[in-house]
Amino acid sequence: MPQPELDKETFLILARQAGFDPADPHLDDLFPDVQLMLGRMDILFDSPTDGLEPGYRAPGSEV
Amino acid sequence: MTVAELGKRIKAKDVSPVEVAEAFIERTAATEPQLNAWITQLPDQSRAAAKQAEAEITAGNYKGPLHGIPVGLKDLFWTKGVRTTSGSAITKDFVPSEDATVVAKLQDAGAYAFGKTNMVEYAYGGSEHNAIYGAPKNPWGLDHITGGSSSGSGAAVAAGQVPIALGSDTAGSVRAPAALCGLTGLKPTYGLVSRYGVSPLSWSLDHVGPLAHTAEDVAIAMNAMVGYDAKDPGSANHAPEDYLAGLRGDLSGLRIGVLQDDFIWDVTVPEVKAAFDDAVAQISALGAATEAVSIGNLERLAAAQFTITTAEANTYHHEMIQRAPELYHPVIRRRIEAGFFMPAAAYVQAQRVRALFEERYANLFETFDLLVAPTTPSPAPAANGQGIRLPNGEMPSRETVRLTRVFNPNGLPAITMPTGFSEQGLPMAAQFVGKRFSDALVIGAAHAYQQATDWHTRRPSL
Repeated sequence: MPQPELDKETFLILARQAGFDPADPHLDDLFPDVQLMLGRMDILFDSPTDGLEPGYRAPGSEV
Repeated sequence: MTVAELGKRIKAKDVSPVEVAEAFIERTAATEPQLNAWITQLPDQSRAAAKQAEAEITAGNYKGPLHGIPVGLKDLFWTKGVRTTSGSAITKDFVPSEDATVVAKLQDAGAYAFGKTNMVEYAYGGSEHNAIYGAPKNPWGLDHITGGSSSGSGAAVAAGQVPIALGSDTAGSVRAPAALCGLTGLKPTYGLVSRYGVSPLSWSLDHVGPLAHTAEDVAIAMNAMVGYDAKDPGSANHAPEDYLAGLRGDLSGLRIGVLQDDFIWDVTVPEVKAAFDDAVAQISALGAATEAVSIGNLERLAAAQFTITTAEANTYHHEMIQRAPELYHPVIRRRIEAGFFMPAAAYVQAQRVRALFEERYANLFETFDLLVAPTTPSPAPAANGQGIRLPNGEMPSRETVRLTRVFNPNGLPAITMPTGFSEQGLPMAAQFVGKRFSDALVIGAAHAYQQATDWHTRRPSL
């Protein structure tokens, strides 16, 4: 299921929690990148992973 | 000249290590103003190391085909007493007190550090973002990118400044610059080559590998580079192999899956496809049984790779980026900062997708010995900030690693080799991919292809 879209208001709340100054104009540049990142992740939640635990085989294992 | 050719001439005393060092120092001095391939050059140390190699060989202590060979090191490999910047202003004065394990192993084999090559800042990207050292130029077309993040390593080897260099590969950072610069480059099996003393981008995706002119040179380097290292938590305790012994003259008896996924072909330009089709015909002519096959849903695996990198890079940079964000290149800064906003569930789900593809690859490698695909969707994009030109539009230049990144999450060995040149004279390439620890087969297959073709012998006119 796709994640809900991040609006600017929520972004600024999250930014404050992450230690950013919400008045920093840099956040205007960062916001589209964060939206892009979240958009690129949507497809992960649409993958047939039922029954699979996270992770991969330990180094040294043969496929 | 290749490492193998140089090694033979040094062993036969046709040429001395000091003469070799002087030739590469001279070549670098002549071409570096055009290329910007190096962050730190080490001519004095190179001369001293070459002199020592010469003395050892004269005394009868020949160590093998790397003895007296200069190696370029991407500037994220720790070098004792020599600054290691990771391409960043933040760590511009970092001088390690020890060598990376892989650097020490190459030195044990008689090679020496010729210098530290330029790179995308903190290895975070497939194109040329670097705030203070600038971007290297592609020797095949100075107005084109080299690909990254091991950009200087690609430029330096392609231009003949050094015969071989090391890079690191999290999404394709060895294979993409090797492909766009007309070289052979290997991302070994995850854990096969130690990452100790290699500044990380994404711990669970980082691989160390060589860029050289030939698969044979890659085999020579791997013979020295491989080995368990207790200082690397991801190191694999795998029995040593002789990668030179794995070189082969044909591909008979091999089953090779030719990847058909839309994820690949929807964005691959016609010139690269034509060169790839010719390469597959050559692979068949060498005796392999080729068959069309799709992995399926690669966009999910690409998203997993992206998500894991974003989370792990943000974690690594957590303190530095809060302390001095202005010292990062703006693009790299935003990539890292975006990780602050990633839901934990996305990282966990990316790991589940990774597990999903463990099964898928395992099934494929029950049928096939190797897979083959183009390495990059296009020849080197222009360095003017525009993206990759497609017949039906444009794609961001970060997508130069689109076709390589899907082999990182599962740690598969993959080697890129030149398959032709575009109308503009830019290299194009294909990659062989194998199951984990089939590195000897992967390298050997590329060598067989290079016995039947001459793309890897061509050099840019600089």
